[in-house]
Amino acid sequence: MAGMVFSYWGGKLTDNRRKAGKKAAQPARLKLPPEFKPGVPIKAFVGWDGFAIRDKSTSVVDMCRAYMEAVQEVSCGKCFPCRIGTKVIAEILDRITQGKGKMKDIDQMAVLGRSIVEGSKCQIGQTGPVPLLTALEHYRGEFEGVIKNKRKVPRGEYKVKLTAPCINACPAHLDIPTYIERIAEGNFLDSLRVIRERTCLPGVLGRVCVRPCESNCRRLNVDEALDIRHLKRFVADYELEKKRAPVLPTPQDKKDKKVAIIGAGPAGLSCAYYLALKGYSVTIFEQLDEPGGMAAVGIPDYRLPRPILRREADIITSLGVEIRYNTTVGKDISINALKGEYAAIFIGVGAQDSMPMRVEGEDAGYKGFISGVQYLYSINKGKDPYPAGKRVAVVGGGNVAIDCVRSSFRVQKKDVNLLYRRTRTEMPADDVEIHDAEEEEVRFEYLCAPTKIIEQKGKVMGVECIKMELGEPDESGRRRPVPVKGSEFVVDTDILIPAIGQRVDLSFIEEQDAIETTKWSTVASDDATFQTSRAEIFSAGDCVTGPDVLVRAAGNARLAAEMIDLYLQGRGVEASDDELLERLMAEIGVYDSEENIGIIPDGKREQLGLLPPESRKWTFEEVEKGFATDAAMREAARCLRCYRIGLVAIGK
Amino acid sequence: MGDETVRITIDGTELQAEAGQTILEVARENGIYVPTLCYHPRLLPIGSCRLCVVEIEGADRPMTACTTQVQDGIVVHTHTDRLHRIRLDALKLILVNHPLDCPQCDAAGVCELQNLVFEFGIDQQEYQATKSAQGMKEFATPLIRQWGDRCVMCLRCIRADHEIVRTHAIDVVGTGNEAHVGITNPDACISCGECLRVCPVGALTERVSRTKARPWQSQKVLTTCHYCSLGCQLELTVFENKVIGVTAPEDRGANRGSLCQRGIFGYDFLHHPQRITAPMIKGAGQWKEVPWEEALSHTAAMVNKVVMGNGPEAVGGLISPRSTNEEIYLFQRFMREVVGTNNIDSTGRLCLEPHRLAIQEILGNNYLPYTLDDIIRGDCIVVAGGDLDANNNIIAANRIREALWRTGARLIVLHPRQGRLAEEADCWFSLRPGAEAIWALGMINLLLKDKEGWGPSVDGIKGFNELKEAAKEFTPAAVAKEIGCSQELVREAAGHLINAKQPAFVCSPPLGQGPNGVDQITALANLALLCGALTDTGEGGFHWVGPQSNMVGAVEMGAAPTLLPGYAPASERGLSSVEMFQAAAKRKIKALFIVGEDPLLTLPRSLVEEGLAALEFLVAQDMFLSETAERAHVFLPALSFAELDGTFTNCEGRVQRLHRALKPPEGLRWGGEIFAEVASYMGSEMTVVSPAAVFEEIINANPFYKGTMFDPHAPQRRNGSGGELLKEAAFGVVKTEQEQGKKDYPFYLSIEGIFSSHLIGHDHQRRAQVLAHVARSYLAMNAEEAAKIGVADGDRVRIVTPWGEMEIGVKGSEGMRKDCLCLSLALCNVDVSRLMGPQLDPRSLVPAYGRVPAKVEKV
Repeated sequence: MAGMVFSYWGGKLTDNRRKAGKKAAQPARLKLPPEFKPGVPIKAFVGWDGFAIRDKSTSVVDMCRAYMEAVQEVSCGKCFPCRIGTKVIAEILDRITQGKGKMKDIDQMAVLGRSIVEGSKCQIGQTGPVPLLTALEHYRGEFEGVIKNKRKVPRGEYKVKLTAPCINACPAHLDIPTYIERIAEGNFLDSLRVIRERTCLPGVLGRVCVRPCESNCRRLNVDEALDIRHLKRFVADYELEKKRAPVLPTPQDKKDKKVAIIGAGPAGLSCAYYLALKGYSVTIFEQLDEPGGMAAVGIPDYRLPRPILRREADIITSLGVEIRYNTTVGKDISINALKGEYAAIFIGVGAQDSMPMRVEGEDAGYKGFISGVQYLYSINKGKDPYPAGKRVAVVGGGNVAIDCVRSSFRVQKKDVNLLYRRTRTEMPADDVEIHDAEEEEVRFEYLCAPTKIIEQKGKVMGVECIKMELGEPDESGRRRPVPVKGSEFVVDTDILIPAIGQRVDLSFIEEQDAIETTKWSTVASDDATFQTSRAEIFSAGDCVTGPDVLVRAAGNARLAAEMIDLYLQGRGVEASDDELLERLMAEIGVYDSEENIGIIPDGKREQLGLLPPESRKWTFEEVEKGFATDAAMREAARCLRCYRIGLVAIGK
Repeated sequence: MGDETVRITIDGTELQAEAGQTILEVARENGIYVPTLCYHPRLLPIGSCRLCVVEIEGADRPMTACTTQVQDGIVVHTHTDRLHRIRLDALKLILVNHPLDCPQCDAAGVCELQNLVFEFGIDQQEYQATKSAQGMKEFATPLIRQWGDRCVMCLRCIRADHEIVRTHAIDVVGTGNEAHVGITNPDACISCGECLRVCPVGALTERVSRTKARPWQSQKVLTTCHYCSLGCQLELTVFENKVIGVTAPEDRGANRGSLCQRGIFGYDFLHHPQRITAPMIKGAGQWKEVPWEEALSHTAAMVNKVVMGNGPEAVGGLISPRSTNEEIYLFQRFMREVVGTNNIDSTGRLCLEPHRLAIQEILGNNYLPYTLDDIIRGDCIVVAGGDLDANNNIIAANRIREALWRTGARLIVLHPRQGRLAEEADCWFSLRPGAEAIWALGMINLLLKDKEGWGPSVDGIKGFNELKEAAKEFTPAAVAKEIGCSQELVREAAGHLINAKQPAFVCSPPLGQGPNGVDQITALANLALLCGALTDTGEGGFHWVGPQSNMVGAVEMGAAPTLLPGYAPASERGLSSVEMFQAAAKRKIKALFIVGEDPLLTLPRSLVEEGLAALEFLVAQDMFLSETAERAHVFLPALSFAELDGTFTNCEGRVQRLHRALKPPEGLRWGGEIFAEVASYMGSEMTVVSPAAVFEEIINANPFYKGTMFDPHAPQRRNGSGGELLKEAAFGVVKTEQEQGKKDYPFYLSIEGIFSSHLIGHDHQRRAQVLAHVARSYLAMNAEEAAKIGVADGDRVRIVTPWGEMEIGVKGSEGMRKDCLCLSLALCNVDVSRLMGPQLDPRSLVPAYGRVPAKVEKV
């Protein structure tokens, strides 16, 4: 059953029905894994672009029926062709599978199906009849056979998933089209309710998310992606500005089991929120004196004002979650001690250690040599880390490096440099961030790498660098920088800040805890269940993935909360079908950057107001202003509502 | 948006359009027909019905004209074979679930679906889909029926509910073919009828009128609503001399097609069985119907007797601000010329005067040139005084909501209770009525500190230095303490005003109707002048919304003891309404002529009772035997607004027509005729030909009405007096001393809705009967305070003031200031006026409807 019998996807046909064995071709466009989960093979897949069959015994007619019923089920009911048309077709297909079909049904479905595809408002109707139309073309004989023989077709077993390119790309799988539609309709608080089903950090993510959704937005194929991130910020701010009580689901009845969470960062807070909603008593152990972890002390206030973070943490504590500040696990209390009191433990400590530059003198403890993480921590705690230093050089090209240079202005450093070994094109930092830093007149020194710290009497005086040039691409796909011999030069500076990466500090785990770690010095946890080598201990976030984006930590922590719930209920700890389907869709690929959407560009992406660079760079005031109501509604109205339905036929 | 021009081609014609317009808007402007069903000009387009699809060259997919913005150079085709097929299929699919009950459907003949099916020539459709039957049921309000099977799911009703009124009483329930309009929160419904009026088919119908008629059998008469001062334009559907429904034209009046529950459902009083249609004279305590001549000559004789015996100053007149301009003008002529006294007043003046005095002080004008349209251009809106939603000034409240979305406007609400607008506000100040001046001075204090942030140059305005000095002590800390809010909130509100380019103020009674009432408005107007809300150009603006349809006209026609028509000062001041009853009690006033007013319900009751009891003669003219009319000696039956020709002047100064829609009962005549006949019996001739002729007289007598017409071709306003508005501007002096509460009366009570609720009637005499069914009057009090005296929602309490007491149901609210009570009147309560004291604001001669000392007891 390893081969593909039939596949029509992305306009590419692979038909192996009459080809045996080796002659069978592999489908060009569709990557369909053989199994849904261990021991459950995938017989066929039906989706927005066509379908594929692995198992010859699959009934295409019944599969189409199931798919059209699924379409009808999720049809929002607002536009006529989709609401009624897909119902008409679903009923015809049902009749056919009951052995009561008529030959003219085939043509009627084809005509109506095309009309629905052409006439519907969103992708549910626009793609809903596509697989049926494909089947009517390539499997017409099967339909005719069923109708002619008046044969009842047995019902297959199917799993259905509703997703969208943006939802699928989002590590937290927010229901983006719905929350955006609510904004377009003016139902801002309901939009926030939808967001909170998947994350408790809308105000934070609405500001600092790296927004994978936006690079998977079908609107990109027309003009520009939606500003999904700032729409999320808009509704979070709306609730705050209008002083409305947060819209939260009603927590379930209190359960007697307690959960300990290590770290009040995005992962810890998210896990706590969803566990609290399930009725568990949750205690978070946090070494700092405030919530947010790296989001609080690693992200500067001009990007993420602390009151936003504190409010979202307050909402979580309002559900009864206790945060014990200034409590370092491994020092003030051991994991072992936690095990006694708590039925489950979640580790979400993040990655806060700096990676070394491997440059001469970096371990010598020179004054003025400060790691990026430390530098930001100190500034975010309201303290200039080295007031005597006036000139700053930051090494690195990620968001932390950009945060370091931009924060430097804000503690009144006048001479600020960023040294990066590749060019601007390869810089991993967010393009908007780089652009803002350029506006604030950070001096960028590209294609150079530090070789030696220059010091005098234990104080940093400068850094010796070597010029680089780009060679062959490395495993990351970016061109590898190669030193240019004899091109050394010196950048004078009082402060040298390495910001080239972070790693996890695992020192709080003791040997007796028996928690496995990886060779990259991260916590080893299952990527679907987030369970560690100890059944009662779960972990997610940067301490598992290494330094990664906030939204993944938050999203995985929510899933981990689900798993902890299963564990505490004594049920099997395994990923839900829904999550497996989401992953399957990701493998198939929900967004196609080549797709012709077929509409003209209308309505430009709304632009946020920014504080002017010359004044903003000296203060911690938030740089970006949120959308005004009218702008948010206009921006939301640009959404194409690209919902897509995937159906997997499983079973023997 | 709006300033850029683009060129587009539709069906081969090259057209100019404004950037930001949709293809549909441009097509309609240019007379190009594109079919629609879910589109409604007042609602956000959603492109759901798929009928407005057009083909745009370069786009593979048809796009909906209602949602697609025009782009420069696009070539659009509105009628192609492909589009016809898509539209035809969409329509056929609608018909799959649509019942064929057209012959019985209320909408037959005005049904948009019927028209479309006819246009597309559909005589059969081949599709089938099962759907559970919905049947007919009561909608979110008992005033509307829902015929679910007729619904085409255009979602206009839901959108009107969510976008215009924002009550969220209804929403889509279910998915796919089972999706339907469901009632998701019936308690939120305010029965405004906005959903009903946008329904394109017969899925929602009203249930006020038992009589139904086909559109072609009935007739629609355009007229002006008689309830509040917004002057909504409405059409009465008339069948066999009965009003059987109310609709509103999209393109007329400030309401643009919208109405409130009173306007749309409150018309059955027109055909009320208890209406009195014959003149009556009371003899030995019994009413006796008499011929008109007898009633009028008796009235004339009695008035004459008083004038002869006690002088004209012993006669007084009250006229309702729901009388037409022509009636009021003639009544003041009658009082002044025939009787010879300035003792004339109207409750309209009680609602307008505090505002007029404040504006007069600051700008030297009697009124302002702003229209409700200016509100939606406001970017920071301050709402003070009454709760616009609770008082059914819903059209004004919805304008504010529109601004919140259209311009992202900020909203600041000053009210002790967190009403619906306060919930949508950025800053809600739960302040005691009468603390508005303190709040305004607090804002002024901060605005003057941040001179950088805002534009208007005001240093040169007279009184600036005094204002600056006066505002000094009102620091955020002081104001926060006085109001009982946080300093941050004070600063935030000031920040919004500082950032605003076009702030707007929307105020309404009972603001100004309490101790130092005029000062509250003066202080707010000072702030408005300072922050740039008062401008010559009419953006934002300062608005005064009142409870009576001809509040403005009443004063402008001279129904005021101090003012002649056109705000000309009376040579000698007459007595105001309250003073007339005081004088009556002292036997100085002996005869009263009361036209349409019910002072027992709207003025301090014990005083009115005392005065009425002492009168020698009382003549009352009304549709019903009101509380006051019961005590009269002569009763003269009056016409309803639907039987009248004439004009009202709304709160924006629009002079709008009432058109006679119904033939009055035999013998009944309009006020003007009555006044002329009484005058004639008294020996004076007032030549009254017709309302139109009286209007001509008004134009000559009242300079502000010059240029207006009785039957204008286009909407008209009396002289706008914009332009040089600020020439004479000067900041007003404001007193902020707050009257201390009276011992044993821990609450401040404000009475809202008193001037309109009597139209709905009271428990013993429901006039707008169907409306009375949903109308609820209640006392709003803080939930904790309610718990303290052991009462819960719906329990009855006794409100006690130094002057009287009454019982009413209570509504506990978290969002209510602890030391305040709001008496919200929808249905009239005859005891409310017992709570009022006889003191008048010496400047406005208005008794206190706000800030009344009170206590509450469990019954």
